[in-house]
Amino acid sequence: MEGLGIDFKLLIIQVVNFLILLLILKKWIYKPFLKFLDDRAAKIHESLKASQTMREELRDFEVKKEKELESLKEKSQTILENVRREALEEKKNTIEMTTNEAKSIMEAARNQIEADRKKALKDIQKEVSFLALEISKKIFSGIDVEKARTLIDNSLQEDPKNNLKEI
Amino acid sequence: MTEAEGNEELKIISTIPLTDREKELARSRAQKFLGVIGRVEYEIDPNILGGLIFKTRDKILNLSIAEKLNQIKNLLDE
Repeated sequence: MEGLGIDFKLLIIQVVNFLILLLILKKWIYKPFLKFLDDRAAKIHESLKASQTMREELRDFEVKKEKELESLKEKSQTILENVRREALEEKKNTIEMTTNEAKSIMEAARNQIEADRKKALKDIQKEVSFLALEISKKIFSGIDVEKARTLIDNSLQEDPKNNLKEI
Repeated sequence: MTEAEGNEELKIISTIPLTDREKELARSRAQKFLGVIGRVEYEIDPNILGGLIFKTRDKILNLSIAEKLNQIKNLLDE
């Protein structure tokens, strides 16, 4: 072995040194380092788990929010529909009421016009009959004796049944 | 008919004085439609416009033109 240049003594010392170093590394470096790695992995795992949980919560929240939005949309749609329907109903009622009022006013006006027309006609008729009577009186008051006698003769031949009255 | 009714006074109204023939006819008409009459009084009233009016205490037979015109006027005024 010496021929190969290997010093056994030095080799043994180096092996012992290596073993001591190995023990030291194992005792104070590897174990803490592995523990550090395990802790780190555990933390990462927990973080991932927390992240997953948060993601699920976020998704649940979004689903819930979506449902609430949908519900709100439906409610607002229903309210809008009700408001629109009520407005249409109100409009219809108003039109109907206005139409009825207009009809009543027109009917009243028509009746008033008819009454006025009849009254005016009656007044004219009375006036005409009065004038006719006055004219007739003038004519008869101016007749000569011969015509007056004819009227007397006519009276004497007349059937007087309708002209006989109790006083 | 009683005597009192038979002697009931009659008034004949005209626009001009009646002739004797007219008076006779008028009296005859009065007897026919108003009953037996007594004294007759004749009156002139231009307001009756023509014709005759026979009047007793409780009846009137109005054959005047004024009455006819009033009847026409009432008919028109209805």
